[in-house]
Amino acid sequence: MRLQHLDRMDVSASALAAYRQRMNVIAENLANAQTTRTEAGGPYRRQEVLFEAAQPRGAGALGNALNGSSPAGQQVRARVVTDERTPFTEVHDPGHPDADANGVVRYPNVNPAVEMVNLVLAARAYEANVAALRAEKQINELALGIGRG
Amino acid sequence: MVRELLFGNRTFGLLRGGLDAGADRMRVIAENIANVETPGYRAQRVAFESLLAQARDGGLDLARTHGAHLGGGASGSAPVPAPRRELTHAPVAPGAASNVDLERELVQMQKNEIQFQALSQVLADKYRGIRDAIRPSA
Repeated sequence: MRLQHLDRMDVSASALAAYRQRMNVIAENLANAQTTRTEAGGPYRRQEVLFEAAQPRGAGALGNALNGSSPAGQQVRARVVTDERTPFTEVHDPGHPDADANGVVRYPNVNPAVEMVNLVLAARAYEANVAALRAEKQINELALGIGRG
Repeated sequence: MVRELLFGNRTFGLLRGGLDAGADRMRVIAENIANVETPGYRAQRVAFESLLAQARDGGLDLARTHGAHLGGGASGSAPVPAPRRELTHAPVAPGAASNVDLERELVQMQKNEIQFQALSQVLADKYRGIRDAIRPSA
C-alpha cells in the first residue's frame, strides 16, 4: 500500500538534502581556506551550491502550467558550482614555497566571514524545513484522530 | 433518511471543507519553505474562507420579483466551496530568488496547525455525539 498524500513530505525532504549539501560544501570551503596546492594545480577554488527546481517524478507539464506548480509538489535540487568570479587573495610572501617569481602567493577565494553567514542561513533554512515536516506529520496524526473514539 | 439526518447537516460540509483547506495549506506552506531559494519560484496560498464568505454573501443571489419565487444563494444553503490554490504576486526582494517570506510561512504554519486541530476536534466530537445517540443505553 502506498499513501499518495505522504509523498508530499518528499518536498521537504528534497529541501533538507539540498541544505545539507550546502552546509557540506561550506565546511569544505572553510577547511580549504588556506589550501594553496590542489591536484588541478593552483589554489583551491571555493564552491557554491545553487538551488533549482527539480521536476518530481510523474509530474506533467500541463499540471505545471495550470497550477503554476506541479501536482506532486515542487521539489528542490542542489547543484554544486565552482566560484570562478571571486578572485584569489594575493599575499606578498617570498618565503612561501608556492610564491611566484614576484614573491606573491595566491590563496583561495574563500572569505571565512561570508562562509559563516551562509552557514547560519543554511542552518536556519534547514530548521524551517524540519518544522514543516513536523507540522505535516502532526496534521496527519490529527486527521487520523478524527476516527478514533 | 437516517443518513440525511445524521450527515446531511451543513456543519459536516463546512468542517470537511475547513480540514481540506488546512491539509492543502500545510502542503503549500511546506512547498513554499522548501523553495525559498529556487529561482523564479512564486509563493502559493490556499483560498477557502474568502470563497466561503463570497458564497455566503450571495455571489449567486437572484432577484425575487414575487414572494413565492425561490431565492438563489440563500445563506445557509450555499454549497461549501472547494479550497483553491493561488499564486501570490508579492514582488521578489532584491537579491532574493523567490518571493517566499520564510518568517511569514512559519507563522502561517503554526496558525494552520492550531486551526486544523480545532476543526478535527469539533468533527471528532460530532461523530462521538452520533455514536452516543445510536448506541443502546447501558
